[in-house]
Amino acid sequence: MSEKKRKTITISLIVLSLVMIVSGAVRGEPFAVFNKAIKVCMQCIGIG
Amino acid sequence: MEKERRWTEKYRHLLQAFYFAFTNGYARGYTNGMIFTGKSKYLCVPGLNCYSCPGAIGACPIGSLQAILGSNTYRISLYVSGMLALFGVFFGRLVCGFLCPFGLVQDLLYKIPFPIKKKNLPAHNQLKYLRYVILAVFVILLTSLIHDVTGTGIPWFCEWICPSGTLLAGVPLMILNPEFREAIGFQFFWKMGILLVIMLGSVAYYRPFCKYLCPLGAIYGVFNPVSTYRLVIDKEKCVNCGSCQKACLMDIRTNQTPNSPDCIRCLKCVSACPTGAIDSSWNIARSKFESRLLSEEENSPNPEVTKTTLLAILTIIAGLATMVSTFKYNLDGVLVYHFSGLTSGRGVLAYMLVTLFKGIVSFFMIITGYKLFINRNDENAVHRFREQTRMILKFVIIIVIAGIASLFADLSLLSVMFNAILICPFPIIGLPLLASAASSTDKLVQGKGSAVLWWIVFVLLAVVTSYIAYISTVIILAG
Ligand code: SF4
Ligand code: SF4
Ligand code: SF4
Repeated sequence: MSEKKRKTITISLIVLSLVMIVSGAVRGEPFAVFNKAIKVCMQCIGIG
Repeated sequence: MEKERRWTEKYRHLLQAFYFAFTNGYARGYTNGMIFTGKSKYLCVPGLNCYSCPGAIGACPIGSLQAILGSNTYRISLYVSGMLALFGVFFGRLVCGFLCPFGLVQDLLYKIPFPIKKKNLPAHNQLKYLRYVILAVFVILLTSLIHDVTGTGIPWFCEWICPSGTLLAGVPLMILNPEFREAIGFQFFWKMGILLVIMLGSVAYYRPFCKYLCPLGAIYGVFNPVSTYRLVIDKEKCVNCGSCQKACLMDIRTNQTPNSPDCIRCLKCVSACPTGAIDSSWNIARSKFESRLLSEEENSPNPEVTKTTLLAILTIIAGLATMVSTFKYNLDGVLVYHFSGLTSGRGVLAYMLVTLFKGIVSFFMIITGYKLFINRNDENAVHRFREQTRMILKFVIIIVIAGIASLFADLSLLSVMFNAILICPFPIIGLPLLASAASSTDKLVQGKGSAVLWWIVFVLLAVVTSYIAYISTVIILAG
């Protein structure tokens, strides 16, 4: 892969991931993540 | 550079341990057998770090991904996938080498003396694809496709496989909390069995979970060839001796595939290479940058170094404060507005754009300030800084226009919009002016009074910036 092509892919991926994060945030996904992360997950600890 | 390379490899475990302590440092969790509930759990940590670990201050990316895939509201994850892609594109599997607790655990277990020490399991070349199967089947397919009566999918990987969850969350919570102990059944013994097999296996074989089973490593591995952190081979120096593969416990022929998806960036090969042919893209970029600076420094010393330094620091602080307020204030604001139904869809969209632009402005402010700081001895840096800050100022103008336009869409945004658009990127207005006045050859304000004027404007801006930084800190501390 040429250096230029790799750079283009890297930068496009950075932009794409930022757009995904912002769009996910607008949909309210962070709330779902937060709500999952602040309660003890029964599956994780093996009693779910 | 040679010394530095060896340093990184030698102190990798120390860095891993520090990172582990930092991201699992909620001490009260370990005493009362409960978990952390602060706002940092809106964000994922890069490594496989269970959010049910009593000390964890962030969310596990694989757990979060399954939570969204299985949720009856979302089904498809943009936020978590975006975060995974961002970690991947910046670090690739450097996360595995430095920022994953379960990677550290396996590294330490392999250090235990044992008669059999092998890199790979038999059938390594086939088994290493198992991690992609686990990602596809347990993390994505089963979680997305099988639902209970409420339409929710369970996190299959967490429930039946994840040894990080068993070790970091299951074991400590069982010890600390009698209520959980009462619920122990077949599933717990199954997960303990998997954990024990992996832990015992890790004494004889190097990182078997990372090599064959981990879905997170599978994701980051795909990014290895295009991430900003890569290994680079100097073909002129490489004598094809094979020392790199010999040293590599992931068994990679580094000089041929330096960015293999299997490489966990442990940097053993870098230390082992007798000719110094392996280097990282970050190291190379830094060396190039330093040598450029050195030559620029020799060419044109800047007589106004103090002012330039102050200007750079001011810009960085203003940028950081703007960034914090964007994430903590604007983003929170837009979500609250969106879900409370207080405003129309169009209003939220406009506000979101303002937030996005503000995020970009803050990012550019930090980068511009950093560049000015690094180049503070170069007289031309101030000129460049002036041009760059003028560009940023144009962005601020767009923010103000978008903000005002959104008020036409929805007046109920007025109160938050005022804060969002005006107060935070405010310091940027004075920066180009200060830059011109700081430069001895490019003064907008000429004559005797200019020095005094510079300091007056500087102090004013510094006060505003400190105030914003103070407010941002208060917002963070308030959680
Ligand atoms: S492969 Fe998985 S468990 Fe291993 S270090 Fe990477 S993220 Fe952690
Ligand atoms: S150890 Fe260095 S010189 Fe030897 S094969 Fe690997 S990259 Fe080439
Ligand atoms: S090639 Fe092997 S030794 Fe080198 S960084 Fe990657 S995993 Fe470590």
